[in-house]
Parts: sequence; structure tokens; C-alpha cells
Amino acid sequence: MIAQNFEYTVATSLAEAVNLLQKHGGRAKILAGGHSLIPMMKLRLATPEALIDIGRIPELSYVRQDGDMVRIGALATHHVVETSDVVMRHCQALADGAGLIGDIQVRNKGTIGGSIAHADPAADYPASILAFDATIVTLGPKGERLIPASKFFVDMLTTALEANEIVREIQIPVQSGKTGSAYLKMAQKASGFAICGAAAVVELDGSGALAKVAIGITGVGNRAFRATETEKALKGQKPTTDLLKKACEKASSGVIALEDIHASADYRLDLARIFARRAVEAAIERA
Amino acid sequence: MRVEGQFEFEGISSEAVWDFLTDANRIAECLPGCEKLEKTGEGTYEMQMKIGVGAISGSFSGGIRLHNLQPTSQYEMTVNGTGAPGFVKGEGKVQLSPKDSGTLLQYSGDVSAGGAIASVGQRMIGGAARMVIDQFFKCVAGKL
Repeated sequence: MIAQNFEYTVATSLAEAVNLLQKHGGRAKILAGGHSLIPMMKLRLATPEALIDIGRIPELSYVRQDGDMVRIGALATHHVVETSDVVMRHCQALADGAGLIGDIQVRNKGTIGGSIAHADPAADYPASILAFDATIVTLGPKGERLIPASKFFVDMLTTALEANEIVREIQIPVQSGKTGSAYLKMAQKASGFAICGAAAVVELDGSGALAKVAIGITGVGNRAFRATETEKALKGQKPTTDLLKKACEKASSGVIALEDIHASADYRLDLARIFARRAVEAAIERA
Repeated sequence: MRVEGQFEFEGISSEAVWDFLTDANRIAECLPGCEKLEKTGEGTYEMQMKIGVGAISGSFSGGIRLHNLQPTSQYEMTVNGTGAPGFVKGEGKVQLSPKDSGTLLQYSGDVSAGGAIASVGQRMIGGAARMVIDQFFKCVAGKL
């Protein structure tokens, strides 16, 4: 199908893009890589009156370490994230996730900022973004805003972004000590979207106990979430096989799961328990 | 797609909730994106609404039919809508039970869709329906 008519403007700076968003009063969409938005427009599920292309703004596709912070520009493509030395060194789960998105064409065009702003319930990044306690930097008419990951993903396709705000940067604190992280997923065969994806970030103390453990799960509920009960059960403990199995039984408790022809709600809840355990095991292996 | 859930109306009687939920004008006040809701017969309404979940949005026109009404305790509802993104059909039951602190509303039903929505958005239909339902009941609670 062909998209409904729309106006198209190339923004030369984020500030200009914010102004244009203001002008259209919520009826325009920001175009970054276009790998979620354009297919939806072609099916006429999304019918914005204007597209504001930020894809050509220079210097927004960086990944760099800045002291104890990894900074990722909103326009960094999945391929850039997947292959970045900084990401591989400090937040490997994010690189794992980026490398599992769609196919190489999608990873060469799709951006991290676009993906998280779209907030597909089955997107890969949100699991890691939550587990790393990342901060989302946005730009709006009133200037910059820092949104903690825990407040960013509000509901299905819905974030804490205002209609006139744009994601500028993702900040991930550099983990200290003996740490490791991993992201694993069960993908839908055709689309590559996560039926369930789990990211784990761990820190081991001198005795081999879990000084820190954070688990993010995507694809299961309306939005990605932290497996807080599992984290509580594991924190401060030595991660034995039995304990991991028992603690991960609670990974999806209280969650209302999505369902479709690929996986029932119960199956997704069960995958969450299994993938939470596998992700923690893989993260420990890397610590 | 099975959709079920519940909602508590703190300090609101089941009579008040019932009156609201069976009054077309009041439903229209709270139905997200409702552009038109007209009573066309006993328990039947014609509606036009624009449903938006994030970047996805679509205008639907269709009807709502309330049946098997058992005043202040339960009723059944059939909803259907057609629009550019496809069609949506829903059938469900709403039950109200008085509690010390107010009224407990429980709903359960099936939602199905066809057309473009179903081909790409099937995995999101149940979740999107829950979002709209939740917004609706929150609004109702706010107005009572």
C-alpha cells in the first residue's frame, strides 16, 4: 500500500525539529531511520500530516565514553551500537540486543533513539535500557530533560516523551567492579521481534555473591519491565543453580501478558522465567 | 484475543456506575477519541471514534449494542467498528458488585480484528484494548 499524503521537511538541527513539531501541534512525526514508522504509514495505521526528518543531522550518531558514562546519540544505528567497542566493553547486553534486531538492512538504518521513542512492546532495547538504569535525554521547547529509564516506558507504544519532545541521547552508567551483562531472546521467526527477551546486568563481590543484579524483560507485557521480585531474591546471594531457578520463577509475576498466534499469554510468562534465568547465567559467565 | 480485567470505583455506588455506563451521553464523555455516539434504539448506539495508541491511530465507525441488561449488576456488550486500518469486533460481559468501599467492576470478553491492523498489529490488539478500557474507566471514576 501507499502512504497517505504528507508534508516532508528535513531538519538541520534538533532545535529546528522541535520547532517544527510545535508548529504541527502533535500531527507530525519525527523520522529517524524510518524502520517502524514507514511500514506503519504504508499500511495507513499511522497517518501523520507531516514528517520531520532528523536522519541527516550530523553528529547525533556517536557512541562514546565520557568518564563514568556511556553516551549514545539518538541517531546511532543498531549496527553502530552492535559493533561499538565502548558498548561491547561496558554494556554488552545492549550490543547483544542490537545485533539481534531484524536483519542487517534494518540494523543499518534503524536507530536506537527511534526504536525507544516508538516503544514497540516487542523491541529489544528496552530490556537492556531498564536493566542498566539508563537515562534518556530529551529535547523539547523548554530545553533538555533527563528521564530515568524506569519512568520512560509508560505503556504499549507510549513513552514519557511529550508530543513536542525528541530523544537526543541515551546515557548508561559505566558499571564498576566484577560485572557482566547479557541479552537473550526468543524471536518471532518472520519479523525477528522478541516473543520474549531478557537482559541481565550483574556485579559479583569477592566471594562470588551477587552484589548487584538487574533484569529487564521485553516482548511479554504491554511494555518492558524489571523482574524486581527475582532481583530481590538473588541480591546478596551466591548464584547456585537451584537458587537461580527458584528466584526466576517470579520473573513475570503480576504481569498481564500479550498473546497472538505465535505465543499464548501463559507461554510468554513462562518464557520470561526461563530467559531471565539464562540471561543471568550468561551475565555471570561474562563477569 | 481474550481481554479481561477489573476496576475499583472507590466510594461510588453500583447504581451510580450503572447509570453512567448505560447513558450514551456520559459514555461519550469518557470514550477515548469518541467523536460521535448516538442512541439509535433500545440499547443500541452508533458511534464514530478515533483510537490512537502511540504512533498508530485510526478512525472507526460502528455500533455498540448493550444486551441482557440486569440493572446495577451486569450487562453484555457487542462492539464493532470499521475504518481504514481494518475492522474490530468485540464481545464482552461487564459485572458490577457492591463492596464496602465502593463498586468492583469486572469485565471479560473477546476482541478480534481484521485487515491491516490484524496483519501487523495482532500481538498488540489485546494490550491496546486494555489500554483504551483502562483509560475509559479511569475517566468514569473521575467524573463520578
